Amino acid sequence: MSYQALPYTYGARTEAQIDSISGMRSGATVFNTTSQYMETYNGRVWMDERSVCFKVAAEPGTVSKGQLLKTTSTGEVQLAVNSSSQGEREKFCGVATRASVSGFVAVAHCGKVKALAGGPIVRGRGAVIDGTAGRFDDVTSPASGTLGMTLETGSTGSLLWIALQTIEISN
Amino acid sequence: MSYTFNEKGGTNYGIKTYNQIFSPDRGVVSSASYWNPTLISGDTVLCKMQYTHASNVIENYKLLTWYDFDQGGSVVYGAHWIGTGIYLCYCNEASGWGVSEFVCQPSLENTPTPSPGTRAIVQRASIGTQAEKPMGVTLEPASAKGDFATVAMMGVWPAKRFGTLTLDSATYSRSDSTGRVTATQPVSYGSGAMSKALDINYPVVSDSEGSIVDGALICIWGTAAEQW
Repeated sequence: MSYQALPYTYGARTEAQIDSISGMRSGATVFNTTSQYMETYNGRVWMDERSVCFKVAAEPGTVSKGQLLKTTSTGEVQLAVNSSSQGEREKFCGVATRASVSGFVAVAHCGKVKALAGGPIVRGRGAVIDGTAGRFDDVTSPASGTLGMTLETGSTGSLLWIALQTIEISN
Repeated sequence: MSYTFNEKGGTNYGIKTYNQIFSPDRGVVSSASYWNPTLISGDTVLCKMQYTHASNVIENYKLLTWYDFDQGGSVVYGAHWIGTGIYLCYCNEASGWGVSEFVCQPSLENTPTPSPGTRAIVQRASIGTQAEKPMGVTLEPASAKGDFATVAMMGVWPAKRFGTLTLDSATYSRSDSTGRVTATQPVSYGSGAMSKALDINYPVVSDSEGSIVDGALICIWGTAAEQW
């Protein structure tokens, strides 16, 4: 048995270059120089070690990069909205690493990821689901509903780095 | 023989299923999971798992590398499939554990033998307060206390299941020493939550005979566990 170094199917490319690849097969691999993750094509979307593929529910139908998502009882995803309900917070599943493709989306459940800011954000604070669907806000003290930490300062509507942690379900 | 698999993944062994790589019957020639190559440190494979949501089959892939942990020294750690979020752990149970069982890290053993170094000391939870400290799901069996076996504490993996799970709520470790995952919180709401289910009925092979037990495909968050 000889050993051969792991060759990526498409080498190292930027995220934009990866998204323009066509004709790939399930199991094809590429190194994403934008996110610094290896990605594997699962026949529907490009996925990395942080992410899981979900089907997007009829509402909203499509998902943008960085939107915060929750799961439904059928396993599909919808936009997450801030809620005082523990049961609702428990549905949070992560952040879209890319825009959805033909109704499917890769969702990061851990690690560092770009998320869509619902208001002005200050780095070093707790990240929570915002009142605007699919976006996040910051809080000065981590508490119930905290899902990670903010890693950079930015304005409303920006895609900003956050570090995902387990959401605090309880009050 | 060499493998390149360009356009199909670019790994030494291309794509194999979870059962081909990890199930207890993978070495039995007559098994549907049979795959028994002679591995050398550095070999790679893409581990495939799939689930169905709203009638859509969805695939998940994880890159694994066969790595020999023995770099000299008196303790034999052996060679194992590793990858992001997979760690070699010290078995703290006298009779060991099976594959696809959930283990926790209750910090019961202060002076284990052989020395685990910085490796986690884990066991299946036997009481609720242990289940509040989830580690991950076993990828290999352990036969006795002091064995070293790999545990996945992040990402998508099969686990033995107790009772009914739902796709939109958290899962927890059972606290009856069986290593199963459950929808029932061990102590209080949210405490010990560590994953969500992607497939609530995912059969798990439990022995070399190919026996099937109830299981689920879970996505382990891999960061902190809910603690209050």
